[in-house]
Amino acid sequence: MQRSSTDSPVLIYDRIDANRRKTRWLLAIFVIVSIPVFLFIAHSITAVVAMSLLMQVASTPENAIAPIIGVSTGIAVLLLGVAAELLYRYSSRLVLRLTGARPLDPVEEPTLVRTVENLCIGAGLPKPQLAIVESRATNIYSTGLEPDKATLVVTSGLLEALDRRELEGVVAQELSQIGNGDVRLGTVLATVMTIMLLPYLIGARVIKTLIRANRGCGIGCLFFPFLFFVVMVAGSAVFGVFLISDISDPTERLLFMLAMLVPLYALFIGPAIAYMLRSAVSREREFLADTDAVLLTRYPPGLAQALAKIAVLGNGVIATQPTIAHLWIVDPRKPKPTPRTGLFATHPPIRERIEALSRMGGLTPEMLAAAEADGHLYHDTVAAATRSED
Amino acid sequence: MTVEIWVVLIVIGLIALLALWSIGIYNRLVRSSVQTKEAWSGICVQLRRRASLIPNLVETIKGYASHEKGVFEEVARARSALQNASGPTESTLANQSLTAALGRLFAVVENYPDLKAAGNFQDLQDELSDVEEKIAYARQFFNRNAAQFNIQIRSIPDILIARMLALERFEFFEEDQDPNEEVRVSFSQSGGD
Repeated sequence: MQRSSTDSPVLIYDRIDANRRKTRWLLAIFVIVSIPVFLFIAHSITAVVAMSLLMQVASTPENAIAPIIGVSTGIAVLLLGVAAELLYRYSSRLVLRLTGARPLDPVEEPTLVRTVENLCIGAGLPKPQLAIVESRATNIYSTGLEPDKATLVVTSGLLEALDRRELEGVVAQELSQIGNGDVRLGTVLATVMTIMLLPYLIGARVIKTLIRANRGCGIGCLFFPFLFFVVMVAGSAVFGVFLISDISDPTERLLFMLAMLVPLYALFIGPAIAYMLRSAVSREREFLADTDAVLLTRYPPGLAQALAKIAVLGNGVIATQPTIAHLWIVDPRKPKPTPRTGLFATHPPIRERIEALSRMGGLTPEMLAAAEADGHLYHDTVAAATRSED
Repeated sequence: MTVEIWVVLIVIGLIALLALWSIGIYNRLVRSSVQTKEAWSGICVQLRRRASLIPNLVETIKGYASHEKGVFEEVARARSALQNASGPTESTLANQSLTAALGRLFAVVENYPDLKAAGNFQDLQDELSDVEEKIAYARQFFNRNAAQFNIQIRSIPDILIARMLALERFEFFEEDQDPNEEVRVSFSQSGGD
């Protein structure tokens, strides 16, 4: 085996280290941004419970209010904790069911089984369970919180479209994500985001039912909760203005106005920032996994060509939930109606990923063009087959 | 509290920190070393698998080309040499000679189209190439771990503890320089994969 002389030997490892450091910073900021949101949600739940308790014991002296609020805060935090734990523990099964994956019999796909087996030897990972999603889309993801409880899920379209080297590349990428704990990280972040977005989601549902709109989630999805919270914030602002007129002390007034801003942060700004941070973390980890995959296969063109093919073929998987979009190797959501780029993107653009891979050596534009041509050919074959079926 | 007592407390504190730090380094080195040894046994598993395939292969080929005794003996010798080898350096040499012997064996097969077409021969060939791939990956994994360990025992501050324990670096399990294989990019500067 010849050694390529154009590689900078240490670059890969440096890149991996730098990526990991960046992720840690992003996560720290994520935690800081999230805490006020959680406290707010807990206290909102508290307020409801406390109010009902207070109603029942209407004649309670004033010094009983504090313990009641304390207890209900505790209950609220406990409930949130339990919800988080359940979401976390059953996430794997939930995801498999949501995507319609069925367990793969080893006899069905010996090439895939062999590829996974050999790459696991190279990575020092236990073999994951294999599952398949019957879909023309070409995509792959992995789930499972620990490497020894992981499941690797491919679409049948992927197995048909990619050749051995390309399949190796994408499987290596998924194994790297399992090994790096990206799946666990992604699940934790998704769980936290779901809880943080609960007011959002509830608000959207409420407005949608009120207006009887049943459109799928898209740019409209942003509109309804936005409307909801504009109404809420405006309402509390008006309410606050009335109360402020009673407060004469300027410092108290200032504090009161700041207090009015808290819901705005907790319900809108906080989750938005957290969402962007989570997306940033997700993008960094994808780059990291790409690099680790190449370190495993020693063949950058494999993954690069696979990505080029997938870009041509379309990665949209039917019936996929936005909350698990980050688990797939390429964003499974269709580009319309919400743009999946920039700060909100869970995956880096495919072009950038291919570029990063080509910097690692061994890839020529001809190889990419050949992969894309293959992709177009496969696409036409599939389209023709679909037409003849109809 | 008097100054003397403060000094004593600080000294004790520093010694405790030093002890904890050393324990941390020691544990890291132990884990790294054990992981590398485990990776080595992973290679041995695959090598043994290949060794168990070879007699079958040789028997199948003998069925068609019984007079090519020289090659069969060469393969048998290389195989037993590999089984008796201990440690990465010996295994590397033995592995290289076995690979060369197998190469010559398959060159012989080229002259017997009936053999090449035979179903059971092709199955064995498939299995053998799968094992070769597994060996390659196991070697890669071992060399990565070995490199990490070697770097650790020579880095400051781990080098202090490593010297005390007289830890030795792992030798890499080298690959064969076969110019016919495809180009694979390499990320390490010296030795191993």
